[in-house]
Amino acid sequence: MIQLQPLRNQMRDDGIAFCFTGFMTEDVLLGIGRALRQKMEIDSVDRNTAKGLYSIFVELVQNVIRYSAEAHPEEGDPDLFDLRYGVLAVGTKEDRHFIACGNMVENIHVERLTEGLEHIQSLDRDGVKKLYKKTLKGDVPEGSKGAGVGFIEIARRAGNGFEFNFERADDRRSFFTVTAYL
Amino acid sequence: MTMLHVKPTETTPALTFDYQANRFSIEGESYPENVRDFYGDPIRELKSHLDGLKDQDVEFSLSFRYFHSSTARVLYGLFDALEECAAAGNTVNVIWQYEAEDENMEEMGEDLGDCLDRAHFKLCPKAEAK
Repeated sequence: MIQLQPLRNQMRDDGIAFCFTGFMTEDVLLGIGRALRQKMEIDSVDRNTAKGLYSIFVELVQNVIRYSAEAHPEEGDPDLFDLRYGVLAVGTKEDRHFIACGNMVENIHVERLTEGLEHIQSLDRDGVKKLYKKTLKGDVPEGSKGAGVGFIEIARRAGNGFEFNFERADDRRSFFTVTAYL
Repeated sequence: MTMLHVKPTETTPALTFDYQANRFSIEGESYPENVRDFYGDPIRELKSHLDGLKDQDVEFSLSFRYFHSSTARVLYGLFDALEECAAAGNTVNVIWQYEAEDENMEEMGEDLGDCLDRAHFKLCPKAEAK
């Protein structure tokens, strides 16, 4: 018998209202997104906060869909992987909403991501806004399939900031977690 | 082509491009997994149409409930094309509609509006839609 209750209790203690672990696809994004919007409406979450949370949710999950280094099938061209593994948790702790998302990344990207994210964290609100505009008008950073502005968007929307960390898993990969607070 | 009409979906907006009247609108939510699949052809077609205009009156209306960062990049490109169209001597009016209390959407509109000089830009708060 697989015991799910300890897992559920642990999540409740951490203030997690939603958790998804597994392969993330566009359908998963839409399904969770609908439930998330519904939950925020029931809880009468402030409209701007609700929109901010939804926006961060979309950027984080689309990051997993595009970049997670834990994919199925394991072998082959990484660009052809169609199922990407990730973990998503949404909740409330100490009166702040949080949304956390984690996935494996190749170790070779850790330094570049750390530098980019620390730079964003060092900016004030106006600086983030300027970087957002500059990035949108400039070139797509190397290794980026999307706009390359996802994390800046997250920083813009996360009224109480964001944190990130990398946990080395093996010689090839690290587990990357981003938590945004509103 | 004289008219493009694309119906909205959960993740993509309605597009109404009336090439004959030079009236264009984008309305809804925009966070497709791949923006090129959705916007690629319509925006390319639109840009080449705008490039060929002379002494015309163009109106472009945008009304988003939500768009993601990849869409924002598409919008910056679109605003550049509208500015060029105005610089070429056309009268270009760009209207940015947003739900009155949506501070972020207002700010996004202001940022995009800053990219326009010759084209006219107007922020239009709407009464809150349910």
